[in-house]
Amino acid sequence: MVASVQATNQPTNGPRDLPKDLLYVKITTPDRVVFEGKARSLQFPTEDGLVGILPGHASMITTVDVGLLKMKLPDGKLTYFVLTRGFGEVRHHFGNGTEVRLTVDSGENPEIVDLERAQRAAERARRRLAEKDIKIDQPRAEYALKRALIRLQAKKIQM
Amino acid sequence: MANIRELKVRIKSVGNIRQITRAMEMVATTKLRRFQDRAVASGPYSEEIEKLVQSLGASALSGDQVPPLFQERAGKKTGILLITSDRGLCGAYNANIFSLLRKVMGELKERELHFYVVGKKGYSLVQKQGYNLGAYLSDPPLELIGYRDAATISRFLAEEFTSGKVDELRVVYTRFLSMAKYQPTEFKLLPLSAEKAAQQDDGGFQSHPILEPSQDVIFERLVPKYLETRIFNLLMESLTSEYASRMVSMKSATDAAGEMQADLRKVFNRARQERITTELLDIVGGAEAIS
Repeated sequence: MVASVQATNQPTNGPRDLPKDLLYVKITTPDRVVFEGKARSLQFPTEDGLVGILPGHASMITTVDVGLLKMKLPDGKLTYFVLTRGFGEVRHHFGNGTEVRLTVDSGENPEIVDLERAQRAAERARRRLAEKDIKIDQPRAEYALKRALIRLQAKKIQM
Repeated sequence: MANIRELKVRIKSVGNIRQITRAMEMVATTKLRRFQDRAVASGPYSEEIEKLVQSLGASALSGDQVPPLFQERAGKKTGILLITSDRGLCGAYNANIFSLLRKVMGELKERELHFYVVGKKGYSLVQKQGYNLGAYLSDPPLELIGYRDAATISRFLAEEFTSGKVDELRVVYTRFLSMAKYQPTEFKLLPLSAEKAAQQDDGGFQSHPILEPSQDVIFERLVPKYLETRIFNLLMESLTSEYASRMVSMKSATDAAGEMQADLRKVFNRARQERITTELLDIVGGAEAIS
């Protein structure tokens, strides 16, 4: 388990007291709550492609795929998170803010992504996929490769 | 007098035992805190998953295509997930689990039992009694299990169920109620209960959400996660109970040793006084005889 910085901006009392033009975002992983706070907009990968959420979005439940989450914070700054598989829920509270809850296997700020580890993982996954061995778990290796590549990509954006 | 020397040795050894049990109590306390932190850290995740299951469950489970982990089967094979401790010196913790287990086994006489065991104590019981061992889940040991390991265990158990090795899975574990109260509990984990999953919550937001890609696909992904969080929570509850039990029993051992030491000291002092008195009497008697 990697200890890391809590990337939380100002805490809110939940979505109810939020102005209409902001999102309340919570990203939860089995280890901890990775992010909880306000945002202007965000974009995350689902199995059917990228989804963008703006305040006022209709309620929705969807699956999250491995990829990069892009979020615009209230001060206009962009932040990124590396997400792995999970679920995303949008809750539209009439007349109030919109809530986005992402419940994923892991979510990392690119700053804490371990570049070397990701490179090693990518290499390992490629090797496994190259082996024509029936014993390997193909989807699992592909998933691992995808995760590693996304982490590397995130590192590049950050730099 | 030999008696006095013996008493002295006993007082000292009781004191040593007291020191040891006291140290063990302190270790149990700090470990307990650590496990509680671990359980608390994954709490929000479990809650989110549960909420999702609840908001989808009612409609996803009413169709005729129920996910495999919810399907009731008629077979005779019952798996029992037995969660015990690796180490002893935790009071009646394991004994309580075993007595519940005996009761449960009495009720399940007709069925073919397979044991899935966590913890050395449970494993040695199963071996000794010659029960049918399905798997001994010893790696990693319970104390080091994190969420990801629980997920692995969960996948394994789900596989045992869907492949037909067992037709239902019951859990015998210890429920953690409070620091002073933990209760051996048994319930049916698999097939998952549709009733429990379908409890609707109304969060006061726009319901009937858009479902992408589709309700069935999302629910199918969700079910294994749901099982993972439940198994992780079971393991953490058992572990917390174990350490709470260990802490309490070590505390009472320390207290008992303290009392014993005080009692022994009293006896010792009395014996010493007696010896002084007899010695004095001897001296006085001797002096009188001379004069």
